[in-house]
Amino acid sequence: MHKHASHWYRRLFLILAFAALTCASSAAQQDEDTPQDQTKTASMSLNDRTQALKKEVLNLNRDLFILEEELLFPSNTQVVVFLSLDVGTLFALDSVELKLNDTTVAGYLYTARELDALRRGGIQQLYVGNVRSGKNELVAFFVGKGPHDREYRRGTHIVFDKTSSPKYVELKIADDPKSQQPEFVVKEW
Amino acid sequence: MFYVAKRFWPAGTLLVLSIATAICGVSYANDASIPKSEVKDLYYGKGLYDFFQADYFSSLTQLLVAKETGRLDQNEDEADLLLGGLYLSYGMLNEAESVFLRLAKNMTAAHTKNRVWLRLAEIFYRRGRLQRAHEAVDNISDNAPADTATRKAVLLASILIREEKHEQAVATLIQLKQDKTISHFDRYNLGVTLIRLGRLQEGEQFLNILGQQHEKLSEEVGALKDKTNLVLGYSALQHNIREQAKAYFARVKVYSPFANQALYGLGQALYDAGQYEDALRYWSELKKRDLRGPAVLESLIALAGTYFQLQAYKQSLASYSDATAIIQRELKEIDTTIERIRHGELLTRMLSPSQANATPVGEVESRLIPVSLRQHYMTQFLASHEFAEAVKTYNDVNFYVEHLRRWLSKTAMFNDMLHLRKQAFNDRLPATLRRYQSLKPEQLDRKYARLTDEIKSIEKQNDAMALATTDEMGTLQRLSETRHRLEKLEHYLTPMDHKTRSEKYRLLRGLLVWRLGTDHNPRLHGAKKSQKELGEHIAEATRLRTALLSAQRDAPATFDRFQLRIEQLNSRASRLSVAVERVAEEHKAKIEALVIEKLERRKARLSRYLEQAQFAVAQIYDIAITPPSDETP
Repeated sequence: MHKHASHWYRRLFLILAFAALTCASSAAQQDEDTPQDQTKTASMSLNDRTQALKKEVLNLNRDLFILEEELLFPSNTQVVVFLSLDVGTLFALDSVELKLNDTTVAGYLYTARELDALRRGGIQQLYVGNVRSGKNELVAFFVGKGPHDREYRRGTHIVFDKTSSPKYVELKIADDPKSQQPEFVVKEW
Repeated sequence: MFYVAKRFWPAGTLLVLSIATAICGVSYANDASIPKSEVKDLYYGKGLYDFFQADYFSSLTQLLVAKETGRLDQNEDEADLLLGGLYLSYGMLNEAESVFLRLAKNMTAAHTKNRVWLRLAEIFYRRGRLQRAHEAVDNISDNAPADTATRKAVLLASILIREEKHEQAVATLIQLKQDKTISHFDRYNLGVTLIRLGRLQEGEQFLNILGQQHEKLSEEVGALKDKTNLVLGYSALQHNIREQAKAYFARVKVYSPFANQALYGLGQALYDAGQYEDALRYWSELKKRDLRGPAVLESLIALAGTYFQLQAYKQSLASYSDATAIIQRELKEIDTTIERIRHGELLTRMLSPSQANATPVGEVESRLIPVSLRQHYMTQFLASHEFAEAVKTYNDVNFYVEHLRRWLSKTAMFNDMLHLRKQAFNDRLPATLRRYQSLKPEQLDRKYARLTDEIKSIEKQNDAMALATTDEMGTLQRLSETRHRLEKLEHYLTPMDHKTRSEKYRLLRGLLVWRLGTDHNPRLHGAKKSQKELGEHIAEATRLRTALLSAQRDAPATFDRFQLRIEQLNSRASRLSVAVERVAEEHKAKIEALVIEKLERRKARLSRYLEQAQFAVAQIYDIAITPPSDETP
């Protein structure tokens, strides 16, 4: 009995041995001496083909995306509004409303996940659209909780000059440590 | 009692496969590889925004678009680092390797460079290029931050093990023993590796830290702790340290997924010590549990074998009969399951398109595993890295199929849009052209030049009269006529009357001249401003006219270029759609074959159990019908 028991313990630890430190070895070694070896060889080429296809799909996706943008928002009329948070401890953003030349073009209510992404350095593309060349007015209203957990609503605006190049505007919510108030900065790129 | 000896094989296998999952479940996209540098490019920030929300496909697309359109000026290296990680998540090792190699060559920041070399070492290791992996590890600085240093050591040990340099691997691993940054999963794997390399004591020290965790643990880490104690227990059993083994098994929680194996191990420890009746107590406890649990079937056979050992043939026969019935039912169910898999049930149930986009390489959620498979001791296999990778790739590929379908319908929409735009352009062009054709830029320029000269002359001569308004000019004219009339009427008026009227004329003219004089500078400024604005308007009108004329000339070609691009992209999408669907089918077949092969192995094992049980039953019957030897004459 003991002899047999030791035998299966040994086998157990032989299997345990396959738990090497990374997946490649474990995946490869688990399949060693199994009937799957031939399948494995075949699947290598499938993996290679899949990898190549993935690359092609991603490149196609990129090209289609560029085409779509060029068709829908040609650079001579394109305006893109971004939103970012810098620190953002003095203001908890709930929503944003965007008006372009007196017309509401975007309204956005933020989820915790989106706010987290913003806090970690992500920048949201809030709006992309078309405007005429020349002067245009952009107004943004920010709603949320300000210092001391008080309801906070602030607006900011900018008159920008649209030329034949795409226009990028960044709305940045930052903390002003001196006044202990949030500040809403509009930056033209 | 051969049937006892082989009983724990399936549970052991499951244990190991789950280890592989733990080792390989590293998400390349979701670790701390994102450099904490200032986001200077809006489109890099946009890629990060999607990335932080686990929308990896969008993130990848945004970064590729930003690179292609030259929108990454300042964060290009950081974007590439992110891109490389995303490629790794999507299993695109070739792309990831080329991105990281470029970064390794170009990057200067030591901290980031270390991470790049770590990624490269992982890629080389995964591809089995150990020499290159070694070189990459050597490039990681000795002063790297703790987390990078730990990953470096783990990777180095892995490479050394693959190179069969076990002593060096052990030396590397032992250095990590007190490392506080080491993850629970790494600790588990390193401990198991040390045991495998014969360094029992060090391995146990490694694992014991995890096995003795007392603080409140997450469900995942709690399960790992139980699994660790299971490994420790069986390791102790293997070395005949039974009391220690029992202590390890006793640490496993009663309702843990590993409780059955622990109970089984406890019984085994007692059995090995010759305490058969105590062993029976634990194995009988297992019998009360879910009969489909991994260790329960084995315990039934062990139980029957132990009764046999104790010459309790009646109980032994009953246990074997129970086991036989369960095995036969199992075999039937496995056949049904295989049939269901062949009809595509497995992947229909498990495929989750929304997940395909968001989930990097990782575990397959157990809730997605069909119930019919969960019951066949397959759960751990289905959650294994090997299977998770296969399902992830299948999900990715299926996501692409759907994505390409969407693009194909969009390209049809692009075509319509282009057609409408072309039509609108052709409809509006004649009227617009008529309006702008009357605009003669040369004439405008000449008039503008004349006006400029005139203003310059007014300024030079300080000619206030020249800036009089139309009304003022009219008044001046009227005043001039009045003066003429006064001159003509001088002989008809009394001197006093003529003098009064002349004085009035002089006063009014003086007033107007005084106003024009004092107002001259503001008027001159206004005139200059108007002149400048006029210049701008003329320039804008000329620009529009030029743009219109060039649009008239170029638009057809631009439309044609768009048309061509749409057609080419549509054709690429159609071709890829077919290829991706074909590959998806191949992956489906591969996954199904993988699972069926596991089920067939399980079936073979159960069949062996069945034979053993039937043989044992025959033995018992033999004993029953064989008269005792002392009764033989």
